Amino acid sequence: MSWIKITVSFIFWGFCLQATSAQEVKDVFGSIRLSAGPETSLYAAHVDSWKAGYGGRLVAATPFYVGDVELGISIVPWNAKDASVPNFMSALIFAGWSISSSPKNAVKAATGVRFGNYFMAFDSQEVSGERNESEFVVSPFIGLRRTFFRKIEGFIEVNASKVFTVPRIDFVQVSAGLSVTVGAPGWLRGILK
Amino acid sequence: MKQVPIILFLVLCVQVSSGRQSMSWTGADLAQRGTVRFTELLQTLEPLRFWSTDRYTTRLAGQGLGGAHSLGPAVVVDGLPFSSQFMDRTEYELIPIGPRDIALLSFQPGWTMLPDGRMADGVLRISTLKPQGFSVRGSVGLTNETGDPGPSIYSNPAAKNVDRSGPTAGLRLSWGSPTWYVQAGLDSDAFHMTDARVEGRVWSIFAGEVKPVISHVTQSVRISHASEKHSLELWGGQTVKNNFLFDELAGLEWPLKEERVWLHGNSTYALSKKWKIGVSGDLGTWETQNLKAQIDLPDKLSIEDYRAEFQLQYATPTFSAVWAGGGRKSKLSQLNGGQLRSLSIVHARSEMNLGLTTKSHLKILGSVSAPSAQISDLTQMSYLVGTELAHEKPSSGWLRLGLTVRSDIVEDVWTTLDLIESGATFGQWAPNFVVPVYDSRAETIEVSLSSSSVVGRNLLFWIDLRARRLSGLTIPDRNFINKGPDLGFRSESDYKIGHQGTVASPTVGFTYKSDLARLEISYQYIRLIADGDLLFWKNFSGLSPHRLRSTLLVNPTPRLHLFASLRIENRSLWPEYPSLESSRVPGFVQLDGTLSKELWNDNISLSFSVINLLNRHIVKHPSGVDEQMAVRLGVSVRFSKHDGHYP
Repeated sequence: MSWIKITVSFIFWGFCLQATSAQEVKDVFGSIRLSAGPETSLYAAHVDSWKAGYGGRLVAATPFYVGDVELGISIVPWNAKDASVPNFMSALIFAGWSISSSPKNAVKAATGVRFGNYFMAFDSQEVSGERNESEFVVSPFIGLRRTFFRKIEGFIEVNASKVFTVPRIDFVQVSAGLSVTVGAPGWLRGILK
Repeated sequence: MKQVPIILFLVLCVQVSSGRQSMSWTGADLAQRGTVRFTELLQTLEPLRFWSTDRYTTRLAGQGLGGAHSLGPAVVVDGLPFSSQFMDRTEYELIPIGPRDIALLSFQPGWTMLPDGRMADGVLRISTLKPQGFSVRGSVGLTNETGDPGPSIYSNPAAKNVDRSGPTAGLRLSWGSPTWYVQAGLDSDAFHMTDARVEGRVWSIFAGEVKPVISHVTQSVRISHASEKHSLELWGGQTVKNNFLFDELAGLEWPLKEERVWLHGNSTYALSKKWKIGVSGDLGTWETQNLKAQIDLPDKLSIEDYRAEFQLQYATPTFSAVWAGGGRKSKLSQLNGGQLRSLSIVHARSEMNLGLTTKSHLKILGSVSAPSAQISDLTQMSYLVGTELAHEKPSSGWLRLGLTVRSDIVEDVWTTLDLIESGATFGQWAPNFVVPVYDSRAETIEVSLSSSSVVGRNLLFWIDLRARRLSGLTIPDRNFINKGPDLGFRSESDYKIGHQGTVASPTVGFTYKSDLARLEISYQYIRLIADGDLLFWKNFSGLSPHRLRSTLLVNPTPRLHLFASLRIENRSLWPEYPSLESSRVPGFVQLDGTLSKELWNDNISLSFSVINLLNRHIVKHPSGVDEQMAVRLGVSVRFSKHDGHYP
């Protein structure tokens, strides 16, 4: 149950962060923060025959009643270390919730959890294996954000992901990049509310 | 019969009781549970017991007094009985109802006769939503059990995918006015038989070239009319199911296609303010067709079933009654065997509710049925007599005392025993069974005491005490031997008559309800008193004696819902599987969680569930699948002029 403990711990620290921030009136679904940046894996367990390459991540987040909610995709190629197994491309499509320290801080700390599906497309024509696999993933994360110019921020995040395959795949990924916050269009607010 | 006074004494000895006010759930409550299948929805209802061999087919056992092998409660939708029985089970998954079709669902425990003449051990009554104007509603759900091999499928050739199911889809196109409602519906579902515990058995029988998948498609049309004097409900359709049916008669799966064509209807006309007449009817055909197999499967079976009933209803503020009479004709045939059985059964029933005082009323129900050719032969007559006294307490709670007596001899064509007594054969799939030379009369006496107490504004405490004495039962004697993953659990089914025993069950619980949350916690204990009748004990075991059930629904905002369900059951015994490791199924703790959100003025609803959140390996039957953590996604849309909000 370690993944539950880790996730609960992250959420607990998230609420601690929120408690340290000044109270503010939130504009629920009022804005969208679009974040993009490169990503790679620092550590991976139970994928010994592969090595992660450099990929990218795109996330759209919006204020929720407490914290933010987000949707995103992360694409990372995995290269085979030996010729007996094929390369594969992974795509993690996720929804998440996060909480951060006060927006008045110069550097904001954030933490949250993402749930999604980890798609794996194998570069293989073999009949015996599946060309595509997918499995549920839980990914608690922590990160830092700093405003550089008005609504543009820089961010760095570390995810500890667990893919519920047998055997389980555990990996730690790091991503960094820029984000921009824009107002949410009225029609989108109407749908989300 | 000598145990009856003992049971009555036990029940009446209870000094203080508080029982459930009513077992009903609103559509809004049910929609927020995140389920995508009707059977999954039934599994979330607190009082109901269930088990499964494949995680998809739900064997609902009501409150458990009929044992693990019972048919379960009947389902009545807008007054129409939906009966999809086959081989000693009700195929609830074939009832064309989705979780978001329901406006109100209630559960009425105990024996009763339905308008189609069937005896039901509990009734689930459903009122459906009927949006006004043109309406399009649809839903789709996907469930995936975790544990797929991922990249290791290349490094470990033995690795296999595990269970996944779906898409579970439903589509409703409808038009409604204050008096008329017309709806076309399409329902489909699929479940992959890939669990390691059943896969070997399935492939030892199945010889198809595709992966074995249980799937079904139902297309249906319904029309409703309601005016001051007249009402009409007609609902007809066709259901085709590709099935891999695990049945205890064989101990392994039967790959078959089932096709059902059905029409249910009822109509009433008000003669005056007090008197009303009504008619109801059901037409149905059912037949099997084998899928490709490696062994000789049962030859094609077919059943034609026609039922009708006329009713006279009387209602005043203090007295209401229904008197009804009808009949049914059933024909069972098998390819190469011709017509095996033709049955004509007539029945009469009545139900009366009498207001004794402003706070007390008495319900009396009775029914009789007999073969039409032997209507004057009392030895061929089945009957049911029941009564319930209900009293509203000063605390707004209720006290209910019930007694039901049932005596049954009438034969049918739907149960496994009916099929084999009629001469149906099952090929190499189930070659070994022995039927009794003659039938015995089955008798049931059930007593119940339940009441509820309201504490403050938000708390309802309740207790429910039930005991059922059964005698004259005809039940199979089996000793399953595990022949390995390919040959399944094989045994001879030797049906024996005259078995008896008692099932007693107290349930206690409470419900807390506020604007923000609804919490329900209940505990049920089931006690079997077999009096040395080993066969009764073997057949009525299977359900865990101790069960703790809790559900929590929280609505932090009007359109965001969190639902959690906790089910703790202790070890269950399946004595038909005699080896120690297979007859004892370990207890389990199952925690499910759902997050759902309505979008776009309630036109879209998204739900995400984690089933078996603790990721325990749960097995609910000796021959069943290994249930691991699963995730479920559901999306439903509805576009209605008047969206038929839940009451």
